[in-house]
Amino acid sequence: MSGEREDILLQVNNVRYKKNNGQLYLSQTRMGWMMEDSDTSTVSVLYNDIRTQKISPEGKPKVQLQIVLHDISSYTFHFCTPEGREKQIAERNKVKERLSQLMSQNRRQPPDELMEKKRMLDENEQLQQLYRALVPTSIISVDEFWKEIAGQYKQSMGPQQDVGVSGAFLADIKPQTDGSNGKVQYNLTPEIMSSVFKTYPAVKKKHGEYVPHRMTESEFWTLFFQSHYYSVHTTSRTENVFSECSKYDDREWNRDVNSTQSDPLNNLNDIYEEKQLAVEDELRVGGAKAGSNAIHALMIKRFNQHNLNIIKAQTNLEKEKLLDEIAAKNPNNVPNGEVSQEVTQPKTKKAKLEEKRTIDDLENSNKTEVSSLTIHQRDRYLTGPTELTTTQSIQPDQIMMLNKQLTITASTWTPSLNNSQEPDAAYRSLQHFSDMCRRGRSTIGVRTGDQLPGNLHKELGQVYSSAGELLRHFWSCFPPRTPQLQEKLHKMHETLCRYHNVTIRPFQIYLTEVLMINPDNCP
Amino acid sequence: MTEEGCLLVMVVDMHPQLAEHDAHTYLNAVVAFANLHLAANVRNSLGVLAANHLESRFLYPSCDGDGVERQRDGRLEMLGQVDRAIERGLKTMAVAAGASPMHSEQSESLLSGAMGRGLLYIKRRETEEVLTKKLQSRLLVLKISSDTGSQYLTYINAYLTAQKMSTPVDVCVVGGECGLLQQGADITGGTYHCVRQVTELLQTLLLMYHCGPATRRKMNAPPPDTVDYRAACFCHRTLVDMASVCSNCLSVYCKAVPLCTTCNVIFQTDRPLVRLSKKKK
Repeated sequence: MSGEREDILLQVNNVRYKKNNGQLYLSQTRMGWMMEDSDTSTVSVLYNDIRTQKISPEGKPKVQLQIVLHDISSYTFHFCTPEGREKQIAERNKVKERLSQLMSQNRRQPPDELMEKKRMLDENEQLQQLYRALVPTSIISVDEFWKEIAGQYKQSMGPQQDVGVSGAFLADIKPQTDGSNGKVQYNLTPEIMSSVFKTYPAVKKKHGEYVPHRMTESEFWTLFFQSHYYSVHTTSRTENVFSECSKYDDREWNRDVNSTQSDPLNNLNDIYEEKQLAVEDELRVGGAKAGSNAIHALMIKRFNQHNLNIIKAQTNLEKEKLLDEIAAKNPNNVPNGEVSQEVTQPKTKKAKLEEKRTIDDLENSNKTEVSSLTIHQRDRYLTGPTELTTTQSIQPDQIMMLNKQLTITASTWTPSLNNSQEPDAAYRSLQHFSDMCRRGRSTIGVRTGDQLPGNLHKELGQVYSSAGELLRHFWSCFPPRTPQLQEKLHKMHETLCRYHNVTIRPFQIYLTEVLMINPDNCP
Repeated sequence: MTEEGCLLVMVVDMHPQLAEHDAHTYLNAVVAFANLHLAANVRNSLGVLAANHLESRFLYPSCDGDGVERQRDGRLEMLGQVDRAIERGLKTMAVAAGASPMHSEQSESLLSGAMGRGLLYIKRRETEEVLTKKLQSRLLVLKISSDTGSQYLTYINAYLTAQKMSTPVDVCVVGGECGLLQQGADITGGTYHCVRQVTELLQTLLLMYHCGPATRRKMNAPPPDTVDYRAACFCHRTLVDMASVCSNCLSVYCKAVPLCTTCNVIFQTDRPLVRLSKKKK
């Protein structure tokens, strides 16, 4: 009984269930009935479990409301306020409306959020793994997850399929016979109506025509059920509203058959021939010829029509549904700007074969336009951003001369390894390199650091850290947006210069002259 | 010395400018260094290319299969083979250059092409390596001429390829400095030196270029100079720090120009810069 969603929305007293007086109440997610003078509720039904509700007809002495669950069990509540039958009826109607509201609410809500999320997780392995990895360990919160990550996956999910029409729905509309005057009553819900429209598009068209200007809904539906169209057994020919429907259906049927027959890819040559009797293990199996038995033909035709309608209904997209509605409103006119749903010109067999053969994805994709780079000064481009060397490039005739010289020299050469290196030259190069090394060696700070006398280390450290502190103040003034910062910048600059003069330079002099440390070392 | 051998590919410059220096010493140094490399470690291997202003040629291993001749001077037969291959190749090259037509447009050495071929040879040897151990390799470039001129793109391509292959490119320039090759050595992790005299060449090679890059790090070598990577503007050919670059052909200009003269693309320089307002998150 606990829970936030237990606000009681409607409560009715004096409701009897199984001969016991009590109270009926409706809350957000369930309805319940509590016996008088007791604390516990005897009956409690979730809205999700309720399949439908029924009310007793008008004429009956008892005012009742019946709830049918999905598992066929039912509960009947008897409204019996002592205030009179009118009040009972009013109460019952109130309960019925509220109940239907709450039922539809409760049915829709889960599918939207939780069901959707569950479906996404089920369909997508990857998403599920991501969810498990990220959310329980609270790396990202649940809302963030669904907002950012799941958003990418939503597009890849296919469209939700509509719930189809049950095959036996017409049979389910059990008429309630009113025993007294032979009236037959049908309980129609909007769902039943939409199912009828889906199954019989002709009826939908008629509905659009006749309701609401020519006749009311109830009249329309009464006629529908009475008509020959609906039940083959009645023979009443009073109203011809629906006789046109069968003509329309026939027209549609012929159109479809024609399109199938005219499709050059369908080979229908042996439908109307008598099939040879097939021999199977000495059993003679008789083949059937199409159109042979006229009595069955009608049934089969209706059967085929019905199937075709179902297929058409399921493959219709929203847009086509809209188009259908427009076409239904003016059946003989072609809506503006839309292609009429006429039979397309029968394509030749060759064209159709060609269409079937080529698959767009496998064709070569059109090459994208590549813009080429046109260079007007090639040598500039090839030379690149190199400096113009001051050494003049060699003239061609000079090259020729040098070339000749080199040719002669090279042809007279034989490799003689003994003469490859003069000792003096070798010594000179070694000296040169040692010099470079010596110069280079002194810039390695570690060596110098080892050689410093102890006190100097500390002093050097102090100089360095105070210089660093001043520099830090200096750099923090950038960018100098306010006048104060500019002031400070100037002041810091002066301070740094002063510091350089007062502290650093004497220190440097001390190091180089007093202690003979290499001047290249200090900045 | 490391146990693994090293593949050394030498690219030798045979530009006619070599005639201004002592060609014999130069060539002797090349051969001596090749021998030294092979003799130092039994697993070392060698490749030699030569390039002049007309062609680049593979000297060793020679294209035509050379039968091993008998020992002549008490050395390893392979070393003698190397000597002979280099000598033959260089002489052929010099003769071909001498017989070339009078005026040729190309006046620079085709070193960049030879470097590319050397890298290809390294790559081929790597794929042929049976034991699938990484073959240590490096490229050594000996340069005489000073002009790099119109081969900037090819050089840069070669350097970047070598960098990708982790092959250090060592450069030894005889005569004048060469900035482009210095950049190359810096990019690929090799060493660059400039030798004033050809007579000092072999000693320099011995000292600085004989050991591999790993050993060189442990040596107390002179530190490399900072390389000047500044680009030169196309209009004045002076090195600049800040420049405008054409977005189409990447030519560098010291000032923003309305028309790029290399690719004839027009820029609108009079429009003020539009600052995109930052989107609030």
